[in-house]
Amino acid sequence: MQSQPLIRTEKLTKIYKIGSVDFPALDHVDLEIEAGEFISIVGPSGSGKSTLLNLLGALDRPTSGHVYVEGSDLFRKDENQLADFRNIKLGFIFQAHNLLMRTSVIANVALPAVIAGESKAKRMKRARELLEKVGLGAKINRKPTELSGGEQQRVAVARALMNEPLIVLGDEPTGNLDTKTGAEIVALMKSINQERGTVFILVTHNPEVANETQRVVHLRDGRISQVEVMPA
Amino acid sequence: MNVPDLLGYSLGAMRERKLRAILTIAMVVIGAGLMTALNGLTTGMYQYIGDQFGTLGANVVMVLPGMDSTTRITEQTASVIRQINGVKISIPYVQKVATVQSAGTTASILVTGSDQRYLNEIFPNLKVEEGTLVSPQDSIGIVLGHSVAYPPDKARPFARLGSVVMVSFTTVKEKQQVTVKRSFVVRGILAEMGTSGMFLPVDKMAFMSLPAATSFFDTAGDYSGVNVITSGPEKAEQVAVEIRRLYGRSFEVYTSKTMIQLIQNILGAFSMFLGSVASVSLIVASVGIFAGLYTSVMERTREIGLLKAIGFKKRGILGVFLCEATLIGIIGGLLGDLLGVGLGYGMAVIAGQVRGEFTGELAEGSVIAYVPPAFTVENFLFIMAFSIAVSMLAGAYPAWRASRLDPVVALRKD
Repeated sequence: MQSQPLIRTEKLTKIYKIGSVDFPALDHVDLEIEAGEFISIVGPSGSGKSTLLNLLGALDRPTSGHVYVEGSDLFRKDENQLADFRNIKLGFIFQAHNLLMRTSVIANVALPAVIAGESKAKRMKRARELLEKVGLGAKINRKPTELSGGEQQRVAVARALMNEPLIVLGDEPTGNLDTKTGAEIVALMKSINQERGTVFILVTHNPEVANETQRVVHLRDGRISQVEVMPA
Repeated sequence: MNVPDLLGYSLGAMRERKLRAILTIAMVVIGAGLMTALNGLTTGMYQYIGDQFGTLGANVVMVLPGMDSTTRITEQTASVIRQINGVKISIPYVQKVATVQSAGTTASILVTGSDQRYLNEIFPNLKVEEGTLVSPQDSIGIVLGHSVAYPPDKARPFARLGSVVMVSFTTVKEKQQVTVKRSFVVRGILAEMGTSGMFLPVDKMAFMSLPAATSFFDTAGDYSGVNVITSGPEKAEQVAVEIRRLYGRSFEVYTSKTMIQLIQNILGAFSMFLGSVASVSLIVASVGIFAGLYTSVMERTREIGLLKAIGFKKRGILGVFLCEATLIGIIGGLLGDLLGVGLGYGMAVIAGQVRGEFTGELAEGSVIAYVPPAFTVENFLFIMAFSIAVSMLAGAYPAWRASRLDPVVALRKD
């Protein structure tokens, strides 16, 4: 039964039209990601790594090809179903501006559960637990503006985990952090991956981040040029 | 996302851009406030007029010369009307604006000549304070309204009981201005009425006998009108119909009921006009709401992208922005209702003063000094609903735009 991978892309292609010229950002990409993996996608600018992440994150639709998650074809779903998919099955961590600056840290973390329609008591309890987990138990009622960059990314990690997703997608999650803080965030994600089996897919161009992952997918000109399996 | 969460989210967003939210709400407050105030004023006017005619003169039928008619109202008219079934008395009168002079001061007032034995039929509240009314045969007696004898803005009385006043009246005859003057003896001074009766400023009028007036004003037997008192309020309409049947369109015939209708029709048109002016200010506010929300959507592109990434659906985003527009409408409408009440009272006082000054100089027409505004629950609710509807309509497009944002594009924006 475990024959099928958690995520499988099949000839995944995204073509942007710039004027009258077709620009293939992603060109027939076949990729399989197993449950419990912690992988990175690397490549120069314009290699298609953000496009791949957007498609895996159901934020965009491919020009052709498929993404199967748990065996079902993602882009057969309609827009509302994709929104639910993002809400329940995915977590996102962006490079910056992840948080609503006007509300408290705990309200930010609880937001995905608000969308899911979870009761206030339940979601607040879980948000508090997650914030304790990422080491911010003492700052749950602060505003994000009162937090350091590293702390803000910890809040983003906690929010990504709010609805207990299968997969967390990180788009340069340490891109705005200094090396030491960045390493701490990667370590945090790694520990969550090991503890809960949540799949992490990180887009990065920082080799130090990539080196911490189990598998590194190299993209170049919209194609997979190399897949590196890192020593455990 | 449930309603309390949605409200919380929208309130949070508005609090983040406090000044803009306040300004947008202020626009709605002004519009709704203006609507409330003007509505209150006209409703107050309506009720005032209803009260005036409801309590006074329900059994009075007024006969006035027709607008383009040359048919005269004479003693014969009065006696024909007197024969109509249901008529108790018909009281012809002569009414002119004249100048009265006493002890060096002059005043321009409305002078009525009629059989004063029936004065109380027309003005049930009328009382004599000093002296007596003038008898039908008295050709030199005059009765002064309270404010004529005792002008409220002067320390000294204008005239006392028994003193002589000079009445002068100017007309144009054969293209010549002719002024007639005659002395009258003050036989009586009326008690203060306060309000006006049948729209006549009784306190600022003077009364003489009918023969005195016809001779002094040289009306050649013409009357200004006839007040018909019916045997009961229920007879008024029937008598009016009969007078109209006899005289056709030669005369204007009013019962208190038709008078109320006439005035309320005019008021209705007037309040429609005022209402549309006020609603324009709300529509202007809607442009402000539109601009405010649209800018907000542009500024919050990144936020919208984020919300979509974590699972907001189109209708969720739509809900967030429409909720903000609705909140602006609710808060604006509510505060507008409150502001409108204050504004209504303020405007009523000012309008009263303006009318007071106006009538003080002309001594003619209505002297309704102060009519309090009246506010009804229906008006409040209507204005609330209108504010909310206008706000939601203004918010619809920005909200729709927000819901349609492509998350990939939105997230790329910093």
